[in-house]
Amino acid sequence: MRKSNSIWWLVFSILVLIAFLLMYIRINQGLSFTNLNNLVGWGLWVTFYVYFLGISVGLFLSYGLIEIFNLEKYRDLGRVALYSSMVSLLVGLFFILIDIGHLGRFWTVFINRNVTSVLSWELHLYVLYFFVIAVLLFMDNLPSSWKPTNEPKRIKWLCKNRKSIIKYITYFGIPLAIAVHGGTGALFAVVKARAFWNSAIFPVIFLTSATLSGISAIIFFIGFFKKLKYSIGSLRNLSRIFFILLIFDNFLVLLQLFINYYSDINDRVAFINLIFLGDYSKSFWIGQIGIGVILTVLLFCIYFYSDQKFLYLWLSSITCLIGIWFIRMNFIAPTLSVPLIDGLAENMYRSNESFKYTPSIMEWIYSYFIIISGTIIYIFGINRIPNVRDALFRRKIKGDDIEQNI
Amino acid sequence: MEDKKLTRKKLLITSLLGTLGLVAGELIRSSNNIEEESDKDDDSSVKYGMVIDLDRCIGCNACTIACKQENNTPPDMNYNVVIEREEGEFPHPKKKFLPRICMQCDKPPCVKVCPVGATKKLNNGIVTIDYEKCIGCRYCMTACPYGARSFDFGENYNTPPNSFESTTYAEYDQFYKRDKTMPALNGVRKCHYCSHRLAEGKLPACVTACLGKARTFGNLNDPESEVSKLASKSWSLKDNLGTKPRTMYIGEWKEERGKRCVNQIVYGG
Repeated sequence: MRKSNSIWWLVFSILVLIAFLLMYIRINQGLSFTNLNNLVGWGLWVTFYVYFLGISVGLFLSYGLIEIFNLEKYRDLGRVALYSSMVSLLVGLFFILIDIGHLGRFWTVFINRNVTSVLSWELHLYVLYFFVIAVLLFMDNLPSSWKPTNEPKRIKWLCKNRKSIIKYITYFGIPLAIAVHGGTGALFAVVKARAFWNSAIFPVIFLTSATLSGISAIIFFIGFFKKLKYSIGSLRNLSRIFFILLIFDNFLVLLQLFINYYSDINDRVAFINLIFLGDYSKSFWIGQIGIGVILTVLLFCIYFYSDQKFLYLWLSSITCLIGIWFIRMNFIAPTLSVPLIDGLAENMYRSNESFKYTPSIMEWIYSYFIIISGTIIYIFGINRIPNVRDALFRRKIKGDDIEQNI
Repeated sequence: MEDKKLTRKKLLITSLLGTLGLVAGELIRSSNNIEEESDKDDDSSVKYGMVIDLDRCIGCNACTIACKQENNTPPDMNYNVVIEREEGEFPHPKKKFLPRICMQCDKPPCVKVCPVGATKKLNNGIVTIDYEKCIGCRYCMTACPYGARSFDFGENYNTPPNSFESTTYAEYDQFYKRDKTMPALNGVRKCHYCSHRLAEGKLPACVTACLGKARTFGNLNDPESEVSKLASKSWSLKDNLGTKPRTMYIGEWKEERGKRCVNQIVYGG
């Protein structure tokens, strides 16, 4: 056995052991170790689910544009984006899996469908979306020219039509990805009981945040994988798209907040007060505004005005990713904290404490474990998928004179 | 080989036909299911409803206790909650009470959103939950405008549960015993107008226990029934949402959604 293989065996064995332990606790104790209650029924795990799904869709859309417009300079980034989008989707889906009460019944969503449920449609779209990414990854890694070997005829046909198949599946994949994350936004937007969510702009914010997180993730990868080649020109374009999306996304968020505040409707103003001045104000001012907007813009400005040193753009992309997480968090738990009927929570729990939601330590432990597992699987896959490996470690791009390594 | 070439037209037509086939299949399947459910559990001549007279409610919580006893509900799960509120200022303060149960809406948002169709609206007016089907995603809890649904986190008043907590009890004409294999555990639960009692010709436990006779229950399809007469002069919570509740109220109650939250934060109240 090769040394690297034995290391992977060891790593995966440890992961599986911890996963068994965590699943044992989760199955035995249900959701009782979380800080969720009958008022705030969705919390940290739903936030992570939406967040990772957003990153996945953002990365896929970036890949789609590169593929459809045949942007050769970005081809390697596109490949990395496609693979990352798959892992991100899996991580997101794992978060929603552990969040449901009956873990063992998750598969029944595919036999007990409800046509009026956005969630029901969404879950089907996730599967379709996963297959689209998987097929694209497979097709992308097929040889572009057919060499007579012992391989079956069908493979020959696939190799010959590889480019057009990839293109048509990508055509199908882009509206699908938009439906996937627009649908996730719609999941919240259709809930008329929660005044803040019940807005047509909500799915649009989800999509914009998703695209921004995808671009941020690509910039992060450029910095993280030091051998990933990119051109100065492509980086400059990416940074521009990143900044425009950052402004647009925060503009939409601001609109949503402003319209809700301006309405003077109690439920809506209550939400605004909760995040501006109340229990969730730290998360809003420090996380969403401080890190997600001020620090991100500041770092971007330093990058822009100081010889375009990549480090600042890279840091800016990281703070932006953190900020988007806070946007998701601040849109979910505080909305559920607004009382549905005045006095209901006090009379249900005989305490005001149940209004506030702070994730429990166990919720964080499970989240860290899923993210770390996702990262390990991601690194494992990099070395096994030929085109991704080439993009990250070997291949040099053509068509641009200047190349830069970090 | 030429005829095997993938063309844009071929791919588009195939994808379109495939998608149409899937959608049509799904629509046929789900419409068949709805019919099946309605036939199975229904008695269309009866439409249950309840009217609660707030001027008669004294806030004794006898309904809450009766409900907990009847349905064996664990801590933090109240099918019936009596919301208390103080109104007016000294020397004329008043205490007002609003009993809140499931509104058994005619247009229930919870039924619409359930991804597995575990929650259904029966023709007799009751919104049911199939504990065997519920996956515990809590989307219905989020969608209910009245906070009438609770998640069973598996907690008990006593560890291990005492003899009362372990007794067998009925919900939706099924019998349950509280242990780890119980289907309702890790799922969502709510008031069901004590459907098992209705099947036996009895009134819901909260109606029977009410000291002030504030609750009137009966068949809304019968224009001569007391509940129908009271319903004609009743109002519903959050009427503007179009949920058409079958649990209605008479008497005064100022709806101040979210106001406490607003006031507490802005004015430190």
